[in-house]
Amino acid sequence: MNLHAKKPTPMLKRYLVTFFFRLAVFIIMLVIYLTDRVRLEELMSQPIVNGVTIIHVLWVIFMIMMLTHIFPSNRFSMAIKKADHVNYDPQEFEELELLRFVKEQNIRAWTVLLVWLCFNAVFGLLYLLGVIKDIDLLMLTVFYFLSDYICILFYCPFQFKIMKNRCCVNCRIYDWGHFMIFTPMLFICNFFSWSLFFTSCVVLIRWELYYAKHPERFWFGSNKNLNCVNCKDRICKYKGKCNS
Amino acid sequence: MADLIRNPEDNTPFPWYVRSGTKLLRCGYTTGTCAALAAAGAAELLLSGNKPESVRLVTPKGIPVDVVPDYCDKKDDQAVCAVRKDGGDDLDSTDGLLITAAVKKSESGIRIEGGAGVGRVTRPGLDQPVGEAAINSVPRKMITAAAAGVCEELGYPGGLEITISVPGGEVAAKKTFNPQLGITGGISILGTSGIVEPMSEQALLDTIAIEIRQAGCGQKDRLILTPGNYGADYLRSSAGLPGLVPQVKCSNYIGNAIDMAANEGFREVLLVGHIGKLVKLAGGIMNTHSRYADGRRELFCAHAALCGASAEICRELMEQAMTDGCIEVLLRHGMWEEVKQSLLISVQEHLEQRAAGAVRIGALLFSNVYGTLGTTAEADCMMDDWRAAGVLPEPHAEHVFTEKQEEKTEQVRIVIFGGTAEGRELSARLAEEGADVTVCVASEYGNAVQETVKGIHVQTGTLSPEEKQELLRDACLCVDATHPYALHITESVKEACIRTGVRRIRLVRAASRTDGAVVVRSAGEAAEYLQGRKGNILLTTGVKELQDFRQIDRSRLFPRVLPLGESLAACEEMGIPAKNIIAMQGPFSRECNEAMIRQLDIAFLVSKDGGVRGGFPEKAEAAENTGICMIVIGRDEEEGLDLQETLEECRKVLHRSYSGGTL
Repeated sequence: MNLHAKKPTPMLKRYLVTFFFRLAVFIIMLVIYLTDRVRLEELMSQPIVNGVTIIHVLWVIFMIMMLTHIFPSNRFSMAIKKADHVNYDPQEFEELELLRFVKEQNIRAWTVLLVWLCFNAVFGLLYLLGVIKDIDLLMLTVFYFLSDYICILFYCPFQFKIMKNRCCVNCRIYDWGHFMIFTPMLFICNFFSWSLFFTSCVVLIRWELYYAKHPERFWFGSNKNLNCVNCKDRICKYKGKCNS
Repeated sequence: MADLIRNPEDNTPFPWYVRSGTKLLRCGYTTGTCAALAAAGAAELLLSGNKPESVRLVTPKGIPVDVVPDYCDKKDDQAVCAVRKDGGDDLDSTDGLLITAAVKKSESGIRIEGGAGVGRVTRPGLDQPVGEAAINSVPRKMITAAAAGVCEELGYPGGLEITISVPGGEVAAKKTFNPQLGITGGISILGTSGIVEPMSEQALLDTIAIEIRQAGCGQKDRLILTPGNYGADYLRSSAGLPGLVPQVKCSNYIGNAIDMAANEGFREVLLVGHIGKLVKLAGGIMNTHSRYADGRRELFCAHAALCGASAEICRELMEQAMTDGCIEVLLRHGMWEEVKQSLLISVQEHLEQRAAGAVRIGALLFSNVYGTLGTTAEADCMMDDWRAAGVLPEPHAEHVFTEKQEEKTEQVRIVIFGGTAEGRELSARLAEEGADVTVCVASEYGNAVQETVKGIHVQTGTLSPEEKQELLRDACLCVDATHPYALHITESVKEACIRTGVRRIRLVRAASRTDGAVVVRSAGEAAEYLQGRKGNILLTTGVKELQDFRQIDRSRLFPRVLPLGESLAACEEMGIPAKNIIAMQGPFSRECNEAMIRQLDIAFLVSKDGGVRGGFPEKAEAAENTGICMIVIGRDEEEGLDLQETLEECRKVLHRSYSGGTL
């Protein structure tokens, strides 16, 4: 396989489509946020019996996105699929090496969690103090929704500063995305926000259970499918260029 | 079984672990290992008068166990030593029990007896006969080997009487299955690997899933599932199976394994297992572990009743400890065929119910005592299809056990692919025991050194695959005793055995210790290593590898080859100076090797790992004593039996044939 192929891989195309979709959602929401704040705030608490609103559409999008991660399709990236046993192609490895890798990655993952929770605690505090409102936290969530793909495609501060993994395919916390996106929703006490936050917790718990029970599926040293030579995503080629 | 991991951070006496998820689970050692360690400690105290600070042995799994005995004491003519059972993270009722060995001198031989706390066998069909102490055969071997090792080390020529006891064993046994199995008065001294490996159920299931998936890498048409070691051994020794069909051990998880095979897209699955496990399927028990359900006798009883058995027969069946006992009862009453058919129909029904049309499935049941017992109707059709597809050979040597078995009186024919010292010894001993032995050797030289006693026919020359198959045509058994490095011959013998359906035994030499030597993977790699280094080289690898050293200055090479014209011709062709050629037949003693090294000013000795019989230890010692560098062309570990085990297996075949039994 040519590692230096310039042609975009199907996975990159898929990622770009998703990115532009999320960008569109973000722009639409931003426009409404800037032009009709009050209306948006009303919509956030409007029950569906009074008519389908953009908030309901957004909720459906978010929910579908998370459900596809709970029951991942075969068309997804190896970054998600690696958790499943069918994508574990074992190779000879040192068990102690694997456990060392797990330990190191767990420490890094805990660091990411701590940083993320501290960062969001600031917004939580501002919300509780009444400085920002529901609508602001919703916009923050939509911004995270877009940022998720910025991290995948262009630059991920967690990858480069803390996790130091070689790519998304090898990322220990790849499926933490939803939990991170919907963290601001924890602070808003209604069905819309909590349903999203707790569903994202289910995605996170599912991922962590897989990691705890089958760490060998998550390490390139034990799973051949995580080696560059078997990679079908090749996102790193473009992401590397962006970062350089 | 999982790979054991030595944890360098653990300073306990037994730092071996297995991984389960992100956790390390500590392994322990079996009661059999404890008994052997205690026996060694007591023997040392008895024979030397010194209390051992620690006792050590290497378990059959190859893991060393080095422990401090809990106590060692000598009174009058007897020494007692105790070692505490450590089950690691797999806690059972025997964990923490003291296993003691009391050792006395005797005239000759090593006799093992069970003392207080060790169970006694009261029902037939177990590892030990009725009346014997419940110390299984592998622990007995371990105890004997450990005590014999001490006797040899201390130069004691007499015998020993060893009594194994377990204080508190009688109470602990109540929490085990011993009472149901008919073992009374204590625990069993058990263990086949010597090591207790803790493993979670999920980890086992995951391992099975991975193996099934890997088995499907080539093709996903057919799969053979076996529950455990009995099934795997049966497949290895049985004519025609597994042929070219991949095989996976599924432990007790029959139902899960069927689901996994279906999920992986296999189309046809054949379950091959011991009747003790697979009879449970007749009751729809899809996890055959005894902690989930037993019901073996009940199933025999129910089906016998359905076939018209009297209450007396049913009662007799319920009194049996093992399934072989049930078969014996049914044979005695002439009901076996009918009950077997009834059980097989029920097994098939339950398998089909579980598979739910996702895979075509059938089962083959066997017994260690009676051989192949029968196949379900679907398994029969499936195996016929597999034979037609060329993945299973036509059956001819294997028979299904029936009540009307005719007595076999003709001489048993065994084919040995030899040319090695082990092959020669094996053939001579089998011929002495009345077997019709055909030995195949590749060269005239092999023919010349092969012992020609009555009953041995020597076939000389390299045989084509068809000729090998022809040679095996009416053989009962084939032993591959070829050189450990003759991999292509081993492969072709294996292929011929599969094609002809003849049972094959691989006779292997144990790999040698290569401490301090440079180990390479091939002769070419050895040559590469030597190229940049100065000094004479003694090549003891044989003439076939000579060409690999062609890049090296000929004046440095001193090949030691067989005294044959073709060997000398090969040396000449390579341009080896005549003065450098050593044409001699081994075995070479250490002294002889040392003399050659000194005489020829050798700096490097290149050797294959030919094992003890290939004179490897003598070469290694000579290299060490003269301070030269030894280069060993390593070899992959092979599965097989050693000479003694092979001989025992062959004897079993001879015995069964002469006593009218089946393979």
